Amino acid sequence: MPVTIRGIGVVGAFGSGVDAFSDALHSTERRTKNVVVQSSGGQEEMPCYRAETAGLDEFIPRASLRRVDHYARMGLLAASLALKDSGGIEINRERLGIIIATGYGASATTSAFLDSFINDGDPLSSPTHFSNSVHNAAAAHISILLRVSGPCLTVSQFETSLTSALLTATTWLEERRVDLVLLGSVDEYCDILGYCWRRFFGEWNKHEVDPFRFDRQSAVPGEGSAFFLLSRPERDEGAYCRIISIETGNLRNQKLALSRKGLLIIGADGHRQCGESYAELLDEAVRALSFTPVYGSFPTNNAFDMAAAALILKKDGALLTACAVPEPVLSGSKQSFPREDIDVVQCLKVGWEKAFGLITLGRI
Amino acid sequence: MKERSSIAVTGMGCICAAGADAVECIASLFEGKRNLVPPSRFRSTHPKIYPVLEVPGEFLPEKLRKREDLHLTGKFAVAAAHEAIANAGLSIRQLEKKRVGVCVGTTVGSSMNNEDFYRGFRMGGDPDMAPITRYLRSNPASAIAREFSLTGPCQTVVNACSSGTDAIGIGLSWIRSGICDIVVAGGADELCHVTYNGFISLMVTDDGPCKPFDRRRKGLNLGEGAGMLVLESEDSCRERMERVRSILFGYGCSTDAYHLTAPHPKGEGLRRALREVLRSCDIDTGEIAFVNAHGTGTSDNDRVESHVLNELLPGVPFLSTKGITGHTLGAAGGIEAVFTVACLETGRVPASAGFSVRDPDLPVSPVEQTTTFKGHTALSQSLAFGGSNGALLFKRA
Amino acid sequence: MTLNEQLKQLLIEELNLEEITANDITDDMPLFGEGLGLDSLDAVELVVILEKHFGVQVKSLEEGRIAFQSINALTAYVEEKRTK
Repeated sequence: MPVTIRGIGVVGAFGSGVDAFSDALHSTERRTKNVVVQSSGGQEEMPCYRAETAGLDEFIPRASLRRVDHYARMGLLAASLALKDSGGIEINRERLGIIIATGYGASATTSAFLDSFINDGDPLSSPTHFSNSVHNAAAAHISILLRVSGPCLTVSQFETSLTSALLTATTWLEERRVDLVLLGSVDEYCDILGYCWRRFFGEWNKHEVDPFRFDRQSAVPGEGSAFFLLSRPERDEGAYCRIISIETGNLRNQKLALSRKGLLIIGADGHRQCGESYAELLDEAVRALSFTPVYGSFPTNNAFDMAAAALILKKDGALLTACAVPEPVLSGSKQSFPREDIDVVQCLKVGWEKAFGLITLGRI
Repeated sequence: MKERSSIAVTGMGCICAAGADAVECIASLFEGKRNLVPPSRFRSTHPKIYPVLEVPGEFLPEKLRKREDLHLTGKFAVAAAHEAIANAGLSIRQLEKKRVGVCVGTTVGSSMNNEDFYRGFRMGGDPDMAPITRYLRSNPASAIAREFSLTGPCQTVVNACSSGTDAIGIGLSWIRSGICDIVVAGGADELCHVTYNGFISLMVTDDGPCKPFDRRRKGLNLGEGAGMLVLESEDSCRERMERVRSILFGYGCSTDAYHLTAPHPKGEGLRRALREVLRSCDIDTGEIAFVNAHGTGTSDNDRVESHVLNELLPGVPFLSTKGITGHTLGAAGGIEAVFTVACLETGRVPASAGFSVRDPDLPVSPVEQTTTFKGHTALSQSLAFGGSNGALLFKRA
Repeated sequence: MTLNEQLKQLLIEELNLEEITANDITDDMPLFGEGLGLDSLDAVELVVILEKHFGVQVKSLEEGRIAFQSINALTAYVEEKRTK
């Protein structure tokens, strides 16, 4: 069953909110910050797409946030923005579900909990850090602070987390378990992640993510949260678009047919191992582009691709006229994008073990 | 909710401290065998030892035990999946012809919390990256999908203590919506120093055998393992009807929206979840033969559950099986679903292990001895940190 | 700094009490429920704080319930039990 996107909230290195996101998609400015990365050779500064959550002040009193860590704050802000963005839609919070997709979960707080007993001994383990280190802590904080008592779910599936979560969101809506779903993604950067990147990839790219250079390792780590308020396709006025279909699987034992009609946004984010898979799937007949240089490389960044797709469908493809992402070069020929209305956009994300998720969105 | 079709449970697999497979685990359950030991895989500097329910190494088949690509949670998940699929009478060829999904709950299985690696990192060294590579390959649902080359939807649920119950409920939704024909669903989790320290720091663990619903209860014992069900649509198992062990009729879920670790004092989320599953299945409370409660042995959980069960399901016998398995976190809902189906098959429930003294503050207490029942329907429920509450309704086949 | 003041500072810093100052916490105000509004998770975190900074071992939550009632009660408890 198709579902409708009624509201969008996004938080990333570009700022927060749909307007800031749209501006960032138009712009060539890349807002990375330096982070200190540890290695056995010492410490280095490397770029990272980091998000800030000062915008929470608009929604939640600061005193209520004292226990909420950065991971959950990103989710809380994006969820609040999605609800606000949905306008005057009537919401019964007992019939509102929350589903969160995360690649690595609350890794910074997991590290903080480990620190508490490694540094000071087992009896001094911090119960607050432990409670926040379980992956569903963000969903718990959102349900408590936004007073949402419908079902809550957190899904962790690396690069297919979002598509997997979206599948369950559509079944919940179809079976009328809920009337609305706040579907979101959250992933954070932290020291241990940076260290693992350094060990796996060496010094990483200090420039922009280069999504269509599939043979290069150009990934730059990022973090962020993107939330969508989803409904059954009953009252679509003012909505962004419809999610028509979701396909998941593994490219090792499944063939994937991409649409030749619409646009394809690929979640290629500079990881060479995943890049091979995209290279095999694309050909000149497929009109592909990527926005990952705007938000960076992390498992759930295809949620931002989905947000971009929704904006493209709502704004009649006008976004593309100002698209600042370098046009992809395939087999020596340059692609140009149609100025006529785009009716269908697909979002494709492939993981390092060839697990894939393909989301097809269409105009209402 | 919409009208629902029946979903068959055709296979079950289980591994925990009580046994290497479902038959052994169920036997131990009815014998009341409690295999508590001090944790052996990590050293703790707590002044007291908090006993745990560990899976002995030899419970895992040797080939699986020796695999380097999976962490222990992944191994438990794969072991229980193998047993469940074999129990369902499904061959690899039969699986290839169907759309088979995997939905597994876990907590530790998705956490990047390998202590040795982290210590090496903090000391400024270059620890072996193998634990990280293993973590990236050990997502429990993905590990099962890869093991059997399954191409349906794949999802690891990380909903803390209700993950296993929620995973089975999601599998039910997937089949009913027509996304797939079969789902391998359940939960898997392993003991580790992080969760050991975490629960002790919350002061909800017992330094002796746990006593769910007992007046003297002090907290939980941690456990580990996996419990998996094979769920099938009616069409899928039409030619193998002799394999149907139970019918999964419904799933209810709701959130307390109250506190990060404490349950709602009046159990609001659990009430809503139970009402939802009963309403959606059009079942009268009088038809429920028993409830497999969450029953961790903590002061708060057991008090809330007792009050809610007394109010919504008065007179319905209930038990906790965590005295036998420990609290297996993400695996709990899966293991307890296996036990619930087994009890429905035999028409009896075991004594609620660890309970012997009634708590006057609790309106109802669990069964104290093996009890036969006549009904055909049972509930299995889970309450989680963060406030998720899930309840599954099973019917005898 | 008196022990009272030290305990107030610790509560503010370690429990992340945003926008609360030591002046806002009176010595006899209830710390849990009404008053400062701390909850069960703060209680177990306070157990760790007391052991870390004063070597006090809180044996059970029942013991804590009495000792944590107010800053005055907490001060008396720490004075009696501290080993650091």
